[in-house]
Amino acid sequence: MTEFDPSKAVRQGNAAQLSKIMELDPTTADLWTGRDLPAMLRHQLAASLEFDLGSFKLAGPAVRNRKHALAEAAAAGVRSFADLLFRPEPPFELLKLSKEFFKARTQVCHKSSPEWKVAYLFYLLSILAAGEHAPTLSTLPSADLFRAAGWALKQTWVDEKTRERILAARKRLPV
Amino acid sequence: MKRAPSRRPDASWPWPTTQWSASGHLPSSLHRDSDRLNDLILKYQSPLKAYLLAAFPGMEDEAQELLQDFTEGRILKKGWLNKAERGRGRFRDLLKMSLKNFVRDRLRARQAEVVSMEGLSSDLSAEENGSEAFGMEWARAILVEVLRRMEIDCRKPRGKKLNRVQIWEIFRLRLLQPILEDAEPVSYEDLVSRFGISSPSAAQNLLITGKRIFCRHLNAVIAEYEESSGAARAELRDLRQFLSRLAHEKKE
Repeated sequence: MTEFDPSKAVRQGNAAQLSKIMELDPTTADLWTGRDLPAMLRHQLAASLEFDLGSFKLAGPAVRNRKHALAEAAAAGVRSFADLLFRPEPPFELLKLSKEFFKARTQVCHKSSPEWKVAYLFYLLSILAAGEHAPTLSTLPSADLFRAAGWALKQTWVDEKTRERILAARKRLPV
Repeated sequence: MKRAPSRRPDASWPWPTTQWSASGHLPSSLHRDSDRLNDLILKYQSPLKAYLLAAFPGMEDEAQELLQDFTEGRILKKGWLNKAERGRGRFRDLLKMSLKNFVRDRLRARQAEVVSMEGLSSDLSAEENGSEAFGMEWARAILVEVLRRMEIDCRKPRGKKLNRVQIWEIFRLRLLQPILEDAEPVSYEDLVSRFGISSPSAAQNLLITGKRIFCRHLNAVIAEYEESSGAARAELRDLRQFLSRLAHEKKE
């Protein structure tokens, strides 16, 4: 296979191709496609808590608390989002951080883009994983959380294990 | 006033590389601006050739010679550049018009020749084809230069910021190559495994940063020949509209 040469390709490019390049814009929602969603979900589940939650902007004592929570979780073998969210009794402090992290992600992603969908799913999972403590973690009424869980269950890219987790967590929501 | 780009042409530029300032063709009044003039000539040579070939079909054999004569007889002519720079609309349009008149004058002087009659019959649609070819060559030249600079920028060592090379590679694999080869983009999973990306947020940041770097270089290249920020914005808008219109027309 010949190596792709951008200059050569541009010189041979047609108007439609050049137009797409000329229109590239950091603010448009064209990073990933729906086909990427299952891989993005797997990637996020496997991602290190330390990497995502450790770099999340916090101030004051919250920084120290985070460091402590991450270190404690790592010592208990909770290192990835899968470790955190599929655990029967996940550390509340980390769920709170995770919820805030993904809430912030949903605010910087274009609504309904693949990256927004993944961030929103993890925002929900962070709340739902708190079980009966969910109302402490979020001001969302149970009915809204129930509806949101319904949205997540309708997503075809959500794997079986995550689906089961959502179903189980939904049952534990206070009525 | 239009300003020629400050960068020096090199082998990566697609245009012929005659060094006009060193060729003895440069009028003495423009010697102080010789670099600028070289850039100007080199920058427009390929779009002008594309225009000439499309607007005057049948002149392929003499296109190079005509362009050479046009450069010597018009662009390098004393006072022409100053006249061109006195805010008479877009510089590229003036160049096209000037070349068209130059070729027509030349053909009139050789009316008896068959090829000249073909050339003189240049009609409105040939003129449109010429303008289209010129615009396409212009857009290509800009994008080639933008991508060249972006790659150099990303590959430049920057201490601990090692992921700049990743930014270029991801931009190339995920955006450029699929667009230019009408191919499926490399899958998310492949990208993540190939570059050892830690999380979806990191992947997103890399790709958005790539687009930002691209836009920064695009604006910089345009700003080198459109002096004011307003003119540069208008130029980018015009280029986008031109390509979009052409893409739409070709699809129909």
